[in-house]
Amino acid sequence: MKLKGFWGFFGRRFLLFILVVWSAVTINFIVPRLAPGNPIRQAIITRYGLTADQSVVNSLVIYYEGYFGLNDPLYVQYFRFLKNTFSGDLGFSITAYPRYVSDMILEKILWTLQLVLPATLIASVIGSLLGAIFAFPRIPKAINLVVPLLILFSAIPAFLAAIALIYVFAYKLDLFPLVGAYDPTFVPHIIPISQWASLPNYLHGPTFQQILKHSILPIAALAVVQLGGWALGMRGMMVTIQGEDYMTFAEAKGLTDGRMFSYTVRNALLPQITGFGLALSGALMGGILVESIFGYPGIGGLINGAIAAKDYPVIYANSLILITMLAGVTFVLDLIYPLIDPRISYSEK
Amino acid sequence: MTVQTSTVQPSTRPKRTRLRRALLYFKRNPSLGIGLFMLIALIVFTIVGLFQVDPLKGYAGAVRGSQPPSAKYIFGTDGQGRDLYTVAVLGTWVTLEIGFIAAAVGMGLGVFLGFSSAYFGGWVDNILRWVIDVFMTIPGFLILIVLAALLGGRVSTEGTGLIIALFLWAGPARVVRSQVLSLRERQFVQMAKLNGLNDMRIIFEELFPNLLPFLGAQLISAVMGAVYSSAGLSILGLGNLREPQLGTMLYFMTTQGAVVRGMWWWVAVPVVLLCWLFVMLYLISSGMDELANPRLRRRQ
Repeated sequence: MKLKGFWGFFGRRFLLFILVVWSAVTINFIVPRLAPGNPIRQAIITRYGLTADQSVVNSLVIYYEGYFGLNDPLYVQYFRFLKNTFSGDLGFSITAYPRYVSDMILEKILWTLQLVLPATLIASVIGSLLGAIFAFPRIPKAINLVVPLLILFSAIPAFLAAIALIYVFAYKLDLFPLVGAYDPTFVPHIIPISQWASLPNYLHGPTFQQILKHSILPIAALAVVQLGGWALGMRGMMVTIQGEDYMTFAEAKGLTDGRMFSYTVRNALLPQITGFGLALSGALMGGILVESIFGYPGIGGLINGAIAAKDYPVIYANSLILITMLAGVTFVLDLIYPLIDPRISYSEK
Repeated sequence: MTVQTSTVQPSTRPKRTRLRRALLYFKRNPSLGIGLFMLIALIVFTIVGLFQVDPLKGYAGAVRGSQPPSAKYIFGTDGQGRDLYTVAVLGTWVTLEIGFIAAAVGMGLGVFLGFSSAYFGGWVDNILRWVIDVFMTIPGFLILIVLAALLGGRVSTEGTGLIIALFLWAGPARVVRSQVLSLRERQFVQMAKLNGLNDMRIIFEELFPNLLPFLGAQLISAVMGAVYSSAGLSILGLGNLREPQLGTMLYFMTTQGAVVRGMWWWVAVPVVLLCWLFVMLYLISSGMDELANPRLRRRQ
């Protein structure tokens, strides 16, 4: 039975997921407490200025220290921190107090996903297609010259590609806007998640056009650096499958090249799914940097602003949410992969 | 029927000198050849440059700002008055230095833990495997952002390298572990054990030499990861913003609108040099991988 090792496999993967999230939370608990200085005092001074009456500042510091429970023993604080984090309370932003950090991030994360997901999808489709073509035995040799070029692209980080693309396509050729997710004078019509049923109407509106126009370059930057990886992975898989006995058998039966090719592609495509989690993780990291270069209002922009404003809770919470998200994606992909690919079973070996 | 007239024929082929052999090998392994060539070119560029530049000109305000390339400033100057040629000569190596510190420390830790995990097995292996898995799953860059933000711009070059090293060890540790596991079962190691060699001698005299080329490839790809991380941190404004290095250039270039001001030289210098570094490291690392593991060679 295929599902035999399922629970053991599930348990191990789930434990890993929990450990990853727990480590991230713990790091986020420890690191701020190692920081020199008193963040509450800093926040109060930022709000009221250095010239504020010191006795007022001091009493405010004492009040807020009590309010946030910073006088409790460390382990009490730690367990409270764990409880809050797992119930979704990631604390307040310093600069935008009393806004919740989690609200700020949720607001921004769609912008980021809007770049990262299409980029990864486009790159995986085009890259796998290219890889398949490269492995096809009857292609002209000239096409194989593209391979080293793609490999070189995969060595270059997305942020460098972004700078080059901005310079050429936005500045020199003036085909795309230079920065942002929409024109500075434009007020985007953002529909709340509850009304996403009306999304199709939105595709004709000016907001969509604006966003599309501004997304093309960042998406291109994130996609172009992934292409090589996808293409090489696919080519490697294709070559492996071409060497399988069943392919020799198919050839002996006299199947046409086209049919052989389609068999190979179908068998080689599935393992590419495992690359998706890793690619998404890379694209998200790259996306943070690409966003800072494009001045895009997503997570990268948020982190950038938080770093400039020394708004540490925002920085910590961002890393925590992204780590959890990526660990979650990896976990789910690990679980569903054996379901879609019958050649893999849940047992470890 | 022909009769062999002489048994010893003087070789007409030129003697295979060491250089010639190396060149022949590079023909088979072009990645390594091109990568090393890029490295040599970079070294030559730096040596020539060191005779020409004044290190102080790499700091903000040292020369007149925003000058396009000319006879006086062959790479031009940036918006804050750094001579970009000086930055190119010195900054490239500062960037590589961060990479090497991080990679060396990270690799050292990774090799040690990977060896211990595989060699001792049992509960050591069990715990380490989980720790490695956790570190492999956490996107290290996100934690780096947290740590670097905490330290602000106060981190030195070496400090940045050390922080990055914290998230570089897991990959090498896992790879070393699996390599040692396979080596451990080989007969020469069994033989050494039977001969009563102690663990340390087996590790250093039997296992380690067999892993060296392999570790070289790992080291270079770790350098690449570290350069990526340090450049990424710099873009976010989390590097050392005073020292002239390539990531810092990227930060100032983007925050001060070098592109909209049409200062192509300011854009080109850090971008071209970083691309050079990444491609070079990538080629050397994949070339060394092939050197270490010829069986992985492309099947064609």
